[in-house]
Amino acid sequence: MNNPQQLTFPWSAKPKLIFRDFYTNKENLNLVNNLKDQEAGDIIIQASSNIGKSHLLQSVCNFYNEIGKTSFYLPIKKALDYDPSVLDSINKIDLICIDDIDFIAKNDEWERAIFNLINQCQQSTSRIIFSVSGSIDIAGFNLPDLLSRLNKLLKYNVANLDDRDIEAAIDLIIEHNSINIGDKEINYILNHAKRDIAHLKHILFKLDEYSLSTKKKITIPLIKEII
Amino acid sequence: MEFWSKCSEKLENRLPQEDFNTWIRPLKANLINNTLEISAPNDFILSYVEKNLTQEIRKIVNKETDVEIDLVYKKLTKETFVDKYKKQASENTKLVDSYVFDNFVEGKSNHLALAAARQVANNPSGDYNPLFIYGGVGLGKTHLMHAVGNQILQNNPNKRIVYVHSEKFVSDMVKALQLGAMNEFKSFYRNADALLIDDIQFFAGKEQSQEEFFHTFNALLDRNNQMILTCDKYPKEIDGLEERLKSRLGWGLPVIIDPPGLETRAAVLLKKASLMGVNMPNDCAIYIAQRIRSNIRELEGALKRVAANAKFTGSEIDLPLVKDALKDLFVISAKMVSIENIQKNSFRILQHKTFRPFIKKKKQVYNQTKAARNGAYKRAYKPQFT
Repeated sequence: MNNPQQLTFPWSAKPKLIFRDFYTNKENLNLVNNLKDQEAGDIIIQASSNIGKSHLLQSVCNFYNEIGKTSFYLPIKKALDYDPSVLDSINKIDLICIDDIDFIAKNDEWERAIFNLINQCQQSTSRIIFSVSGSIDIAGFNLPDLLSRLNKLLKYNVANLDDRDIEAAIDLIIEHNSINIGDKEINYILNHAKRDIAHLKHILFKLDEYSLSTKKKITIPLIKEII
Repeated sequence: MEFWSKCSEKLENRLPQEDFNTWIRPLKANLINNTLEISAPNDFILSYVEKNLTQEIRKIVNKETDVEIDLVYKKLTKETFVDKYKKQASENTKLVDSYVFDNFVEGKSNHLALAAARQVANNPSGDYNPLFIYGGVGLGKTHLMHAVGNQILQNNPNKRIVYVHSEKFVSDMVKALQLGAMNEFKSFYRNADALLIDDIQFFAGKEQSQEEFFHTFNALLDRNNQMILTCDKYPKEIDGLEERLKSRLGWGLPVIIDPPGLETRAAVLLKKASLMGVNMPNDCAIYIAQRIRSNIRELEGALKRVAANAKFTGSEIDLPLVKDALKDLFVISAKMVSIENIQKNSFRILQHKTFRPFIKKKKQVYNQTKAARNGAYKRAYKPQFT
């Protein structure tokens, strides 16, 4: 082999999603506290896409697991390929997280399944946390009974991050994942890549993986190539 | 550390986190001799795991022990289904404890329904059988239904009260049919002292479920056992329901719950706030009630947001806090009733069946007026033969 690559640990690219890695500004600190609070009841997280809703939902699942509780996470984008019976009898689980619920709008079978899930959870001790891109009021559900039940839940709007928040969030990702990158390079990424956290995180992990496997420093030419 | 916990931890490192949280986390597994019995909340999850993750699980499991472990996926069988029903029958109700008469706010819109519900609660199997509560979404039908059940139970703890949502009734019946457990299913519902079925409009178009419901209905009424049903419409107006069923639903007492007026909405907010231990000033309750008019659930959602905001900021609830906490909600409701929105949707609004009779009537009036005008015109301009 002329050009051997150093193998990276498989988990280095897929770190466990936890609250610590979610950048919390003043506005969304309240949300994170409520997600951790088991007595806070059912919640809907409303935010624009790529702001970290899936990260938050999976962080709650992992948090529940750490305290010995059961959890279930369902990303609706993928689940639409499944039968809605995937939700049957899951109200025995302590925490149920349903991601991107707006994707079921106008799908009668799935709308009914979520409606039934809420009804069943009302009779059990299960906690449900939904996420929605935008707002449930404009998601366009056909079933009024479903919308009315969702409206009863505590809604949290995750505010879009401003430039200063994005910089702080990037610093946090770099610090928590021990990514070796200089200030000049960070600024280059911030000035040239799309300013959304999921996208920036993806670039950083890709750079980190590349840098580890090739034993090369992260440089602007490399960033240009990746972006 | 338990065997499955160890395996599960290892699987977490091998699988994408999303897949792990969806498919592995809800599983339970028991190692009995050299067999790992895996169970899931439902057969869909279990089949998915069996089909897609068996290899991965097997690899991990076999690394944990020196002996060969068999994997067995425990699917729902007639026995487990029947056991579940037997357990439910012995555990009694599925009523929500907090839905009682004491925290149901009375108003002009629900006065009659509440009076009838109290009557049934204190004298079940009397004149009002079945009690049929109908009205729009989020107005308190389910609360009232549970309140009756809770009161009957409080008066007589030996009574067997069964609450079921119509959709659950249908899905359980499908399972019972598949597993050949219809006799157990029938006897579970037909032997209830009081049967409470929520949202029966969802029976529409499901003929076999209607048939079973019809016989359950007859069996309970024959024994003079109480039935309480809720629906979003008056019995005769439910599309897709058999005529014989519609007719029976009207035998007892149909009572309506209308949307609450401003005062009732404010009172509901104050009541719910006090139940949550939140101090809500009157002016704030009225301010919210003036802006959220659709239903009680939306009021509850708004109250939760205000309470959470107050808790987080550590401040008392006042108008500025309410306005700030609910600003986006008020923007959406304001948008929904804007002139522009009404104009944009006027055609669709007029097409709605609520307006059809008026439009028909208007057309009739227009035609009559036209005919009268034509007649008068003809009379006025009738050629005069002299």
